[in-house]
Amino acid sequence: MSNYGLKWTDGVDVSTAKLENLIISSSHPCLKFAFSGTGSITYNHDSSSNDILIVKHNLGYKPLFIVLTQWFNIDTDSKETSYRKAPLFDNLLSGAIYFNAKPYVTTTELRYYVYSFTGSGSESITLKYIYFVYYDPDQDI
Amino acid sequence: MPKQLNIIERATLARRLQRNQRRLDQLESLLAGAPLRTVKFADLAITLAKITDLSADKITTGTLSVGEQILINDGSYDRILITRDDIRISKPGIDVKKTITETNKKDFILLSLTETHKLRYAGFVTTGSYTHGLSRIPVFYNWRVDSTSNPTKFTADNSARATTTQITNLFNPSYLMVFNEGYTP
Repeated sequence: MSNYGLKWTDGVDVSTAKLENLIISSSHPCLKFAFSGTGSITYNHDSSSNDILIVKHNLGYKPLFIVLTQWFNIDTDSKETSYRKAPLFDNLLSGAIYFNAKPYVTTTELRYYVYSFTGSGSESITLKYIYFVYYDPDQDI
Repeated sequence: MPKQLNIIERATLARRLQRNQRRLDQLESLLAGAPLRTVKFADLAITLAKITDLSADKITTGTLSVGEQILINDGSYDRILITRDDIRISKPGIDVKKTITETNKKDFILLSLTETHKLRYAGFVTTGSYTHGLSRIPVFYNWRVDSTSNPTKFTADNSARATTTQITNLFNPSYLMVFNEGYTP
């Protein structure tokens, strides 16, 4: 059987549609939600980092994920309430002043690591975040 | 016509002869290749043994209803399964009928039992911001591009910021994808 599968399009002839015209193609995996939610991380600005558990997925492989997080603006020396894609790293003065937000996955967990330094003194900072972990692995396995 | 029959008997016999002649005409027509109309099988079943070939190419209207499931095989594996409460597509080499576990959902192209992202917007943005109006922080991806008419380079960029109404701080020009899913922390 040479021509099998499932495709659908939005207003384009499915028999001649290009990949970019397809809403679904059985040849290309969709990202499937495994876990999602919200949380917050608190750390001491200018004095210590924090490494927290976001979610224990226990999938046995490293899954794809995305974390959108509030962040610390090293230009204005203040916390921002908007959300940026992490990991993100901002620095000034050749790295002497920096903010680093670094979520990462292992084969069992999604974790979040944050630290920053602006030289303005220790301060407790809480950053909210949202996250999605997918069943789809970060590489073909 | 026998002479000893009365007029009523002769009329009855004449009608029977006419009816039998119509049946003979129908049989001869079928033997000559005329199409069948309503057919009843003695065992009320069309078994696989009775079908040498079957095509669905002529189904162009109406609703295709099946009792249990639709299963499509790629020549080696059953890859697409549609039942009354589930749609599955498996990756090549994976039997779509396998029991689903938390650790093998990665083996499927699509599982209707798991949610996927729905695209709200995908396109070029030249104003530095995009109003999504979702009232939540949505999942989004953005890239710096060198052109909107003939882009040759998409560069990863995480300077963009999301609020519950907008994506801002986009490079000009950018390519932006915003999904419906997200949260209000």
